Amino acid sequence: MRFVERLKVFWQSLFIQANWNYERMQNIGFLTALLPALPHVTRDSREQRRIAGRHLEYFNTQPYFASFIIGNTISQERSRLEYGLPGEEEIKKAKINMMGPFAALGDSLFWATLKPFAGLVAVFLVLVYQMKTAPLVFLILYNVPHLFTRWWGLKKGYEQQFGVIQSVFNLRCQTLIKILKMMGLIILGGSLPVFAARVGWSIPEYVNYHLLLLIFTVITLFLSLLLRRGVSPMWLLITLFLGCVLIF
Amino acid sequence: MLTEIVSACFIGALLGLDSVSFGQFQLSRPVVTGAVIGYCLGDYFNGLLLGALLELIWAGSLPIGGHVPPDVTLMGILGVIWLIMISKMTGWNINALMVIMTIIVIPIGHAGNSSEVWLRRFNNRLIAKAGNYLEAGDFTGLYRLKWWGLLFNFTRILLLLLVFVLPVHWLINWWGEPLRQGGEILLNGQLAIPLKVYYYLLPALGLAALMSLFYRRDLSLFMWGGFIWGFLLIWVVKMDVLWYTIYTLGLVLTLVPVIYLLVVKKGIEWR
Repeated sequence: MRFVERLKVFWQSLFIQANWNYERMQNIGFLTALLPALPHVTRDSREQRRIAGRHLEYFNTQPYFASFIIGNTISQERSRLEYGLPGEEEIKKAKINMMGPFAALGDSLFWATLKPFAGLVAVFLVLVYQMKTAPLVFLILYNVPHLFTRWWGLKKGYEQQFGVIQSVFNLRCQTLIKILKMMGLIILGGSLPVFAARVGWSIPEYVNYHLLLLIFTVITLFLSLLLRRGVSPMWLLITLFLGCVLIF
Repeated sequence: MLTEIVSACFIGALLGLDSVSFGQFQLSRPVVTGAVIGYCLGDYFNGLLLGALLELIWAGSLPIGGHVPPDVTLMGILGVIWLIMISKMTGWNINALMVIMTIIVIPIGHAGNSSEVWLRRFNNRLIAKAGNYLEAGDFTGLYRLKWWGLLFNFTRILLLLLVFVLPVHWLINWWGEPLRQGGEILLNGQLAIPLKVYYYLLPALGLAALMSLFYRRDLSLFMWGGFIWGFLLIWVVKMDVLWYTIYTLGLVLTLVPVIYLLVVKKGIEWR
């Protein structure tokens, strides 16, 4: 696939959820992302229509990791027309088999780890140092791995027809998740004394600062325990607000 | 003011497209929308501050199982528009108002979710349309469909913003003086201390939410290590906050790629 074609597919893949629907989820977005690569697969317009028709089926995965599947599908369709293998059913099955694991991996890496981590760094910069360019830091921290995954996924998905799973495995996503969680916990632990100190700066001299730190830490740990037990943050927020109004 | 507010709604609706319809660059997160909307309405820092508070509280909320968190994008955009509009029009204490906003926007977040469900049902019709384009061999029509998707979502967000913003604007215009006086008495009187306490406790809830997301028993040492690091530098050494921020984030952000590259080089998966 030429650079320009890959760029076009990349651009279209940014819209993969533009027509997100309950019936077939990202199907229209997936098909639209394939369209710029169809001339690369075949020049026959009737064949192009047949291929497009087969990819209007159900499709749903994590939008960034969808790039691997898009690249892989283009490569498999081309191979089918050139060598007769894999068959149409195999291409469909390969797509379905990749959707679930990639969705789980992408969700846990991007939604559940990188997004909160980048958010934590930005919030730390705003609330602790009052840094005005914190949103920019957040966007850079998040989008460098994001755009890399989309672009590299498209490339590897296309190049490594049957080795695409191995390519994703080579990214060591679980390792990255673990490191981000470790570093996130360091920032969280390091935030407790700072936020407690913020409280301390605005109260009278006679209040014991260390007691204040202890109280703030205990409250945070207690709230964390409640959240881990499944209590909704919304209810905690409302209870905290009402508690403050009633007690003070 | 009205022109600025309507423009902010338009920009907010454009940024809101990022959450689902286009790109997912996270331009729709409160910490970004707060800054942008704040800038549009002439109060960058307070917009950013409310955005950061909402980001902290809701960053750890993920749609897992039956739990669907409120629409953070809409909460962030609307919260900042309301905050700056109300404080400018009434002169109410902006810090007190900011704290109240973190609560008031929750139902709006749920309204955002419901409207998104409706939009996704509506999008079902587009499948048939895509089928028709395919049959006719009209690939341009297929490309056009995504713009329709974007337009529908943009209209949804814009309408929601206008529906919640304009009536508040008119209300303050009509009953400006009594509202201003009543609010001042309440926010600077009875509610002043509870709101201050709540403002200081909010980060505790945000940190707890992220802790519950990141915490693993085998990694607890890192959290306590960070705690001791912070305690020593801030409470014992009494280090300046700027240097503390530089040291902590510098250390953490350097360690992420270094450890990752070392582990990957060794070719092992580290769970």
